[in-house]
Amino acid sequence: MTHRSILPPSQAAAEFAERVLAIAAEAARRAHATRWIALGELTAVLNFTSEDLHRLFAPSFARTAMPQAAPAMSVALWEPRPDIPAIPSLPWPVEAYRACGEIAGYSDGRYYMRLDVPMDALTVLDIETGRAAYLNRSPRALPTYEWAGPLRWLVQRLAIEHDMVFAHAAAVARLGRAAVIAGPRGAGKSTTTLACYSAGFDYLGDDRCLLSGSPRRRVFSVYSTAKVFAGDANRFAIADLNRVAIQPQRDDDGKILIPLDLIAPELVVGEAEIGCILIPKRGNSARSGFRRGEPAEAVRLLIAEIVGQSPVTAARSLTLATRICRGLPIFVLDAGTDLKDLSRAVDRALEAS
Amino acid sequence: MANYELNDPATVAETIDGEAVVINLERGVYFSIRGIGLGIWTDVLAGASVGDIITDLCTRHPADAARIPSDVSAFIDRLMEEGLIRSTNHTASSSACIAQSTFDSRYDIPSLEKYTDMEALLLLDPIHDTDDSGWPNRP
Repeated sequence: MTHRSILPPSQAAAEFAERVLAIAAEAARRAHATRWIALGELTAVLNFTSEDLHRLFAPSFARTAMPQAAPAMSVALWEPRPDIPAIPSLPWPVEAYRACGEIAGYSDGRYYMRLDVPMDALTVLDIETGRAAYLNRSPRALPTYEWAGPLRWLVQRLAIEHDMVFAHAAAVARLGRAAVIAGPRGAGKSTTTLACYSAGFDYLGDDRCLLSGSPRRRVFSVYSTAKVFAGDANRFAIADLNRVAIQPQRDDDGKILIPLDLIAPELVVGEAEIGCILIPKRGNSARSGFRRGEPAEAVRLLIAEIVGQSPVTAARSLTLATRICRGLPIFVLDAGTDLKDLSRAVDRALEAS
Repeated sequence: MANYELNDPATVAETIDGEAVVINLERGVYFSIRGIGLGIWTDVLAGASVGDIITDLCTRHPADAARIPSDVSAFIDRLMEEGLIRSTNHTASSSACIAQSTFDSRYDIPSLEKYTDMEALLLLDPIHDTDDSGWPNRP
């Protein structure tokens, strides 16, 4: 792994991280399920000791990778139970919590730590060795959107070490060329993605993807599930959608989870060259179209969540996203209500790129 | 006149296609800077003094020379207020710091476009209570 951003860790951070990682190793030895996944050109292994976490997260990691002797990241996922030692008391003061649980002084060096309070989860990563821990104290209370994008902090932190951006974006592709779809929540990323999927596009993600700018601009799939409001599911001409849909236990945002690999696995692909970036804007007319967009807006949208949720990697994310967007065709996608026409507009945008 | 520099690490910035994307991470606010403002921004970060920037702008846009000093000062004040730059004692050979091409456009009042949609992500409720293991109590 590269060590560009590694600084000498504080003693407290190192001690705490090593104790948690030792417990994680013990939890991993008791794993009841193991899954190898691809993160761009990297490989990671997930060791599930918690059956609940496996049940909730595994559908989103349907694209598996070949096991390797030295994965870039090895994650133990567990919940507290009597046969696994409890982790030490958290050593940092409440004032150390940054946005979304990143911990000042404990996230800036070799070790990366985050306590996601709403999800009741502690994440620890040793950037140098790729050892990682994910302890969740109440997996059954996790909302659907967490099932759809598990281990985001680990993926994001690992990606930046390898010059990739874990972008807040969807992506679909035709003939190996992808339209990356960037927009805030509710902009129409999932709608556009599923409209394209139902029209036979390859699918790479509906909310988060890995972007790489070197040597070529490429987008990599991370999650194979898509989210859609339950009431909108029938708008899409996707056979079996309702049959395979996972209903949420705790309905936070009203969205169901669709494991797209169970419907058309050949359309769930691992990577594609980036042809263009689309910025969807919802319209009221049936027809869709596209027009030139601003590269700076694309950069902002791609990294908005990363920057907000991880100040540690913000500068690097901004630089990488700018490098990827520079010279790429950027279009505003005026998204109409006719979903077939929406997919045709994406097709035309790709042809124009 | 004073010199300024990027207020890092609280602020990060990149320029793409004639527009600077500037982010104040502590406040969770994005900014966009274009046109004449981008030229001033670029020169400030390159180490040019405010005096040299004003002189150069007045030379390039003589018809607007009367308003340029106050426009530039107001713009710099705004960059300071938003925490994007800070004053510095470092000085550079000023003329070399002026970015020629960015001032070639028509004069317009330098401005900052502000985006606050990220604020909600950063400005979360502070954590007050923890349990015996130091774990924060969930909201």
